[in-house]
This record gives sequence, C-alpha cells and structure tokens, in this order.
Amino acid sequence: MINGIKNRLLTGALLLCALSLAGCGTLYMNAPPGSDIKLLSRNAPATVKVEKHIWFKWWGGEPLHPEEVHAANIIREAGLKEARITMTNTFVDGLYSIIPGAFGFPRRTLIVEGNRELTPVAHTHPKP
Amino acid sequence: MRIFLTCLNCLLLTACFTTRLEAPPGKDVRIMAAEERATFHKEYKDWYLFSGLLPISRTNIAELIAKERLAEVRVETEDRVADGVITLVTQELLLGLFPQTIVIEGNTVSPRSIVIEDTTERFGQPKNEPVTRHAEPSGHPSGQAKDQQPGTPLSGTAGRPASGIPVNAPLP
Repeated sequence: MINGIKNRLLTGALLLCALSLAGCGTLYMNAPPGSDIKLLSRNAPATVKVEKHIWFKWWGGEPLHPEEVHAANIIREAGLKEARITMTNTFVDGLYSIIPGAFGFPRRTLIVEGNRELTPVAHTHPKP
Repeated sequence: MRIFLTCLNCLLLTACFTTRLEAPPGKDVRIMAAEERATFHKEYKDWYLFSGLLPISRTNIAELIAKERLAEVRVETEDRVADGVITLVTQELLLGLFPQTIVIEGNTVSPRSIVIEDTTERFGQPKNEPVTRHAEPSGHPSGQAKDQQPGTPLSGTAGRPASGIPVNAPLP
C-alpha cells in the first residue's frame, strides 16, 4: 500500500519534470535595425561563429534576458555583414534543462555564422 | 517499470532539434530587422518523433525562400504551450511527438531597392532662404535664448554656420 503511493508520487514528480522539459520559448532570427545583412547559403564560407545559450524562465514563457532572444544582437556585436542563423536544442541543452528546467528554466542555443566583410560575388565571363 | 519508462521519457525530452535560416544557393537575400514591415507571413509546423530526435517533417527555409521568391526574410521559432501538451500526451505512448512552430516573414522585393519618390509635389519646392529658428532653452520663460535677438538665425544651424561663412561658399 505504502509502496504503491510512493511509486505514484515518484511517477508524478517525474512527469512534472517531463512537463518542464517540454518548455516553450521564442527565438527571433533577425537583423539589427537599419542594417543591410546578407543571408548566407549553407555552403558559403563563414569566418566568424558565435554560439549563445539563451535561458528562459516560467517554462519558456519569458526569456531571462529579453535582448538575447534576437539574433540581431549577436550580428551587431560581432559586426557581421553577412550571416546565417541556426536555432537548436542540443543534447547538452536538454541535459541542462533536467534540473533547472524542472524549476522552469529551459535553455536553447542560437548559432550565428558569418563574415565581417561581404564575400565578393564570383562573376563568370563567357569565353570569347 | 513505470519509473524506468518515465526516466526514459525524460531522457528523450532532452533530444535535439534544429531550425536553420539560410539562403538558397546563388540567391541574394537580406535578413530583415524585427520592426520592418513584411508582406509575406506564413506559419509552419515542424514535426519530430521522440521529442525532437527524429524529424518527420521539417521546413526547409532556403527552399521556401526560393519558392516564394523572397528578397528579404526573418524567422521566429516558437515552442507554444499547445506544442508542449502534444509532446506530453504522446510521450506517454513513448512516441514523443514534438511540434515546433516556425513563423516566416518577408518581402518579395526589398523596399531598399525601390527608388524614393519625388516629394516636391506634396511638400512644395524647397526654399533657399536661411532657416530661422527660435531657441527654446529649458527654464527660460520667454522661450528665447538669453543672448539671442528675436528673429535672428541661430549660430551653427542651417543656412549659416557659427563662423559667419555661408555653408555653400567655395573653399579658398
């Protein structure tokens, strides 16, 4: 009888943990205001790579630092002229989310790759 | 056994998922700022199994940019409460169906490439007279600078700089 209650309580606690891991959160892949940032393709070379971990509170309802959820901040700080942006939930993010996540602090990762100078476009001239 | 399964569920919920904002190869696309107006707005759902471990359907943003002929774009990734509930319910069946909302906004033509219209018709011809501005220093009841005569142009403002040389005067 006591063991049954114990098991149910434990299961309930673990489900609560699972609920917290399914936390929400919004990330914005945008550019700084007034800028002219070129979007890079997947295979384009990038000399700069910035990885930022974004923490949320209230199970993802609100970011801990609201300015961090915008990729625009990373682009501005790194002084990029062209960039490609990736939002990911890495395995490490997931592991981090187990303990802090249970208290409503999930984590996401924003990766910005780019160049500080515009890559010159390769022009192909037809052979005479 | 149930505890083991719940632990497994928790472990699965740490799974990975990724959304990439990239340009289609050979296309010139601009990233938009948050406050810019977008005429194109569409929401997509990315679906994963085992809480993100196995993608079932993923939005290929580069392909979409090419298909919709977007010249500029911005993306939002949202994990909504409803998405979390779907994950939880299906997690009990050890499926862990994980939806993620992707909001894509953009324009087919960049407003920066549009030539600015001639506003002389609406606002009239610009006047060549020097602009006379009255100083409005804070704390002065008359709204006029202490040493400034009414109606005289302010030093260093449009028309005449502080040195008294007209702005457009040729250099010696």
